[in-house]
Amino acid sequence: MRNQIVAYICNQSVSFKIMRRDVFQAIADPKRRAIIALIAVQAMTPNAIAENFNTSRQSISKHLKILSECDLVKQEQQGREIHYSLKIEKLQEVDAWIEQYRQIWESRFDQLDNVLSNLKKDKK
Amino acid sequence: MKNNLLFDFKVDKKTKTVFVDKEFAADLSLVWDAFTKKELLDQWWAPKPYISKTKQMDFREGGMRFYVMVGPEGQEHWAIQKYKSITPKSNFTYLNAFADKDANPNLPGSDWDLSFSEQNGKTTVNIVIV
Repeated sequence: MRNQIVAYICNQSVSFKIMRRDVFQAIADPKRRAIIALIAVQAMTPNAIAENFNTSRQSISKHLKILSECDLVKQEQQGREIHYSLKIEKLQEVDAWIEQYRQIWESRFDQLDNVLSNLKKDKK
Repeated sequence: MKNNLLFDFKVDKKTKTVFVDKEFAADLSLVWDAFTKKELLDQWWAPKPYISKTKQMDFREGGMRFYVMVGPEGQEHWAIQKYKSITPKSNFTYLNAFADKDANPNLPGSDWDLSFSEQNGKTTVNIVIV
């Protein structure tokens, strides 16, 4: 019973994490977008990333942790250092999401084209 | 789309702005009516399989459209459009927001700007959503 409860709580926290961490949360913050832009070009260490900002190394680590949890970055150990690089394919989820809205407008305008062509017929 | 009329949909992620540009094979007054008269709007505003039902529409500055999008399972999504400025047959702007059944808006919503222009019997509508 106790194990079940623990398992339940763990599952809850897992599903909560999935809900909270996705690519949209990753790009919601301007600083994270700037980090994404940097590591899209080349893999970088947290220190090298931090040199581009006027903030503490801790703040960069916090953002990198969120980006990792959003599954947007990969980490590679090179000697004593960890290099972060971008999983660029994850960003395509954003395009897929936007594409839905394009389709909504397309469906709308198909209908409007029909409405207008009927109006033109009525006028004649 | 089945014709050669312009249709462009762009999103500027940085400024969180959506641009929709569409050309119609109809003169401006017809297109203007289709965007500003409720009985015409309801024929096309909702993307399939949703249907749009306008409960109330007062197309004047300060007036509003209160409408619902009804889904195939009967789901209802209420929304309001509060008209901020109207330049007849040229441009109008409104605040769009989801709302409850009593038209109380769920702010902040989004700002819409729609411009209409005609050339060679075709009408272009440029929509900017922020």
